[in-house]
Amino acid sequence: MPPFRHLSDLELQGLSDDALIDQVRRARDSGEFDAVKLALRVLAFGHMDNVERRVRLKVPSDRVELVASNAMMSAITSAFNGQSVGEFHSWLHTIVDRRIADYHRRGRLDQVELPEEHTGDDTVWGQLPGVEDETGAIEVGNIVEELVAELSPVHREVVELAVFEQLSAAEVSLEVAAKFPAEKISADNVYKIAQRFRDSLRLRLESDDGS
Amino acid sequence: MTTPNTADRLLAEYVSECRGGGAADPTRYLAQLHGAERAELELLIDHFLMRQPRRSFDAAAFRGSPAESLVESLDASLRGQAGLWPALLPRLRHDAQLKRSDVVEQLAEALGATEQSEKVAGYYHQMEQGLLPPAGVSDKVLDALARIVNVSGAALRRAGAAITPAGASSPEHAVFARAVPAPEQDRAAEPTSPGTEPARDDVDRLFLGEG
Repeated sequence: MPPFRHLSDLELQGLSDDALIDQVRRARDSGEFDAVKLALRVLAFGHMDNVERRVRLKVPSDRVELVASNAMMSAITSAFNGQSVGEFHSWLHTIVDRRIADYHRRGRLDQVELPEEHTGDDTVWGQLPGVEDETGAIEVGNIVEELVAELSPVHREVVELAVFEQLSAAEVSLEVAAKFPAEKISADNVYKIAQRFRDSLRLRLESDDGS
Repeated sequence: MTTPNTADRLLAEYVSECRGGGAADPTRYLAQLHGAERAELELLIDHFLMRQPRRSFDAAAFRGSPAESLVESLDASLRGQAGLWPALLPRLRHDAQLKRSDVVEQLAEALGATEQSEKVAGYYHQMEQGLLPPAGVSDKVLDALARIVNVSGAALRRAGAAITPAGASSPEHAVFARAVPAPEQDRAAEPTSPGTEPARDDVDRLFLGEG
C-alpha cells in the first residue's frame, strides 16, 4: 500500500465517498488524526442534510437529529470497519432506512412494554452504532425502489431523469441517446414512460392502502 | 399526457428548493396533501433525496452544524482506544437527561464505592474520552452503567469493541495516549508509571481488570 499522503481540501472534495473512507482509515493507521478529521468533515457534511431530510419524512422533528446522526455514525463506522456492502452512498441510505425502522419498532415496543422491559440494545433513536452487525442490513421495502427496479435500464434512466431530476422531455431524450446510443427515445415516449411510472406508483399506493 | 397532479407539482417545487440551497424541509410540502397523494409525494421526495450526490464542503455552514457534532464524536472514537464509547456515552447520558456528575454518583452507588466517587469520576471520564481500554472494564461496571443510561451491558461492551483501538500496531498510538491530559479531578484515577504503581484497590480492579 502506498504511504499515507495529506490531501488538500480540494483534493478531498474530489474523492469518492469510498475513497474518503479509505483516506480516514489510512490516516488513522498512520496516526495522522488531523487528516482523519478533515476527511470525516467532508464526508459527514456532504451527506448529513439529505439524511436529515429523509429522516424528517418519517420521524417526529424532535428526534430527527438523533436518528440521523445515529444512522451516519453507524454507516461510517461499519464502512470504516469493512462491514459495509457495496458503495458507501447506497450503504448509507440502507442504514438510514434501517434506523428509521428501528425508531418505529421501538415506538411500538414503548406502547406495549413497561419501561424496565426495553433496556436492550435499542435507544430511543434506534440501535446503538457498532452494536449490531450491519452486514445483515437489508433494504426496507420502498415501493419506488421496487417499481424502478422492475424497469428496463433505458426506461429506468428515463424515469430517474424525467421524474426525479426534473429534466424536460427533450433533455431526457438527449441524455438517453448519449448513454444508450442504440436506443431512440422521443420526447413523446419520455412523457409516456414517465406517466406510466407515476400511474403504476399510484396504483400500488391505492392497492397497498386497500389491503 | 395527463395533467400533472399536485404531488408532481410539489415534487418539482421541492427539487427546485433543494437545488437552490434552501432548507428544503420536506414536511412543509407533505403538509399540503392528504391520503394517497401525500404518500406518493413522500415516496417521490425520499427517492429524490436518496439519489443526491454528496454536497461540497462549506466550512462556514459546517460550524455548529449536526455534522460538526458527529465529526467531533467520531474523531474522539477514532483517536481513542475505547471503540465508540466517546461517541455514545455522552449521547446516551444526554438522552437519559443526566449530567456527568449524576451518572458518576449513581455509578459509584451501584458499585458500592460512594466513598471513592472521585476515583469513579476519573475512570468514567476516561471512558467518555476513549482513554480506558474496554477489555479491563468489568461487566459489573458496564451492567451498572447500562442500567443508568437505559441500554444493555452487552451493548456497551460491543460498542467498546466496535472500532479497533487507534494505532494498535503503530508507535504513534503510544505517543498520543500519553499526550492526552486528564482533568485535575481525574488525576487520582490515572495509572502511575511502571515501577511506582501502587496496588490496585477494588475500584481500580473494576475499571482496569485484575492486572
